[in-house]
Amino acid sequence: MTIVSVLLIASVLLLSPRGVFAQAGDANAGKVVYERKCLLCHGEKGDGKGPAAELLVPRPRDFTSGIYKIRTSANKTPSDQDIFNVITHGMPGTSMPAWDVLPDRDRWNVVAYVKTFAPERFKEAPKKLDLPKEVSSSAESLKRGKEMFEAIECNKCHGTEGRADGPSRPELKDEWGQPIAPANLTKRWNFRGGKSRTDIATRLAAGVLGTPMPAFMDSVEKPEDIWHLTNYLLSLGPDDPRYATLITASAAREAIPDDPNAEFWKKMSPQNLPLVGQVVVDPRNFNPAIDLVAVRAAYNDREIAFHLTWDDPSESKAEPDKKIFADAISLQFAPATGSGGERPYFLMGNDADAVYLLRWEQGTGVAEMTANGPTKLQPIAGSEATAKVVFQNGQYRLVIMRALAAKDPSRPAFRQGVFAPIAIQAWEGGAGETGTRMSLTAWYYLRLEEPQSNRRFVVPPVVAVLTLAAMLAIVRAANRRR
Amino acid sequence: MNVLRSRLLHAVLILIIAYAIFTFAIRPPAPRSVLAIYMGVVILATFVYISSNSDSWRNFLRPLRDTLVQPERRLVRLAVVIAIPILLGYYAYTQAAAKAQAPPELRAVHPAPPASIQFRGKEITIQGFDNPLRKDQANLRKNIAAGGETYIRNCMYCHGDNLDGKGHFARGLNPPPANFQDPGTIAMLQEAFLFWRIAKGGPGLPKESTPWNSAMPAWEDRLTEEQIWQVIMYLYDATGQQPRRWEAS
Ligand code: HEC
Repeated sequence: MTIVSVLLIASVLLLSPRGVFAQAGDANAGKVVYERKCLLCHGEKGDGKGPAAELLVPRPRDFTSGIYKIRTSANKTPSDQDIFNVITHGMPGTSMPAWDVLPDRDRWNVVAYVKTFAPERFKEAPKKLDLPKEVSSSAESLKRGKEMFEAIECNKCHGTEGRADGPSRPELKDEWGQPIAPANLTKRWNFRGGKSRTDIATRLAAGVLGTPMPAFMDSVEKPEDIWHLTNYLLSLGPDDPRYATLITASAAREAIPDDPNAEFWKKMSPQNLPLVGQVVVDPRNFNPAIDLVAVRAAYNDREIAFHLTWDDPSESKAEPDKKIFADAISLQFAPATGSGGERPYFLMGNDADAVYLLRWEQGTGVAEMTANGPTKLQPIAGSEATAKVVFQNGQYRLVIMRALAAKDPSRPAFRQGVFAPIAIQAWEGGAGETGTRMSLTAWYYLRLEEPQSNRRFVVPPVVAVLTLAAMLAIVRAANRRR
Repeated sequence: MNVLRSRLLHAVLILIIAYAIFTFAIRPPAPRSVLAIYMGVVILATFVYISSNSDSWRNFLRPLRDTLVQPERRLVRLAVVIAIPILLGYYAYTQAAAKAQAPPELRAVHPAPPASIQFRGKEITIQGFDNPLRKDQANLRKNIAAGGETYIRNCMYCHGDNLDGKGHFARGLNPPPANFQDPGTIAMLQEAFLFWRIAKGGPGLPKESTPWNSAMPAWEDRLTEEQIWQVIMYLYDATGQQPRRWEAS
């Protein structure tokens, strides 16, 4: 064999699409894996009625319907590779995890087995979807994409800026009659079928079967509009949330603006924290509405300000008869950090130890409070915190301010350079969240950064000069001794 | 002089190889502090080696001395005298400009269990106690299946469908949910230890285990005694781990 042919084979192997490696699985072997790993959600009969089904949104897939949301095919039949990919990568943002921990063989066998739940569907072969020629992103492409976004009415469901707050949102139902939320296009790490350019273009072209998301291949004006739309969607949000591990408050020389849309805040980069459902105490919140809060913080010699940004599809005030509650958010601190790192229980304290809260509520505004548990809130008399909020296109932006110093021991003082515990809780009242039905973070640390000093420009030259002097001394000493 | 015999070269090689082994061959990677201790030991050993006799010591020093005094090494000498201060200055800069990092949370992950606990007003022995359902061999599969149901309805959100601690709420929790597939969790614990942890959750931990940080719920009020023993059996069955036995004392 010549070197050329070796290179040729190698390049064919490397370049061939992953489908080439598709293997015909063994359904009987797949059944064994399925019953060990999948049954508890998808049910013994594959009907999606496992014991956890009614707690999950979206619900586990019913395989007997043969409807597969994530396809790369032009008709309703997914390819084996499509099913394999969903098993391998999971469905981000849902309780379907990535099963890449299972050997390839097992996954192919499961593919073969789940197909047996709806043999009718697979009589028709998957039809290959041909994406139009790729168009790279540019100012014109983005402009065209935005036009299309409005022309084919993506905004009706996904909202003007893509935050899943469109007017049709409340009416959306899936094939199984369950309410289904449109995707938040600014958080593409949660896209069920992946966030890459090709993934997104394929979803636009082929739609998401079983949901109100149609296939747009034929409704865009020109085929390449699929790519303009893709480029536009990619411009709506970051690729990755890059969650923060520490909240830093910057030192400000000037006055801190209370307007959430002020240039001051826009210049600061967000520190994103993931929020999760509260499932520790009853009633639990298995499907939280708010999964991320972006924090910006600044302080000067008198006050400290927290700028919070989070997505919420509707601005809700309390209407208890409609099961709608006030949207709310609270910043939680430890009144005093004990020696040995002791602090109150992360879930809003307990009977023995209270936490201190800066809690904002739609309609009532901000208040300083203490809490001895999620249902035992106690306003502090003479609250001195202030807040200003903006709600725009499915997003809250809120600035909460307070004096830096503490007036009494029930309030913590914020001190420079100290790692102080901080946590966040949030409620989407429009989705019925109130009380213990919230989303929250564990304890994080807040640190008030020292004002940018010149230390980093002074210390290194001093170190360098001292070392140089020492080196010269050594050379001289060595030569003198000779 | 034979280059391969040079003690200086030996010392440098030993240090490089040791460092490479410690950083690349140890999985999972050792923390930096541990690495520093290992390297300290190696440096000490290398020093003992090169100073084992005065010949060896002189052999080690010779290239260094030559660089400092020999006229034909002037250029090397100049380079070293300039390069080292610059490197140290750069290091000082990275240190002074470094952003603060969140301090690590230290906690005892597996504290000593209590001798017994109060479970819904009933005393249950923990130390030395075994899973009572294991005696009922006839209903083994049934108990495990029931445990699976309890697990998927209650524990999956944090500990994950695959019991690997990667449930969809796990990313927001610190400390993270236990990974039952890991040999460092249930495989080295007794079933009664798990009973205590599941019944009393994070708040039931002693101080050294930072009970205020743990999101592990207390299940005492939601699950019955039987359900907890069943879910424990499911944890071992689904991961293929064996519970540890109590040492006869
Ligand atoms: C809200 C998230 C959450 C839920 C729900 C949850 N756990 Fe945990 N669990 C944790 C966290 C976090 C830890 C690690 C911290 C600790 O040890 O307390 C943990 C630790 C444990 C441990 C200790 C393991 C060890 O190595 O010491 C056991 C056992 C356990 N969980 C079992 C369960 C069982 C069984 C359920 C369901 C009935 C459950 N957990 C539900 C979060 C959760």
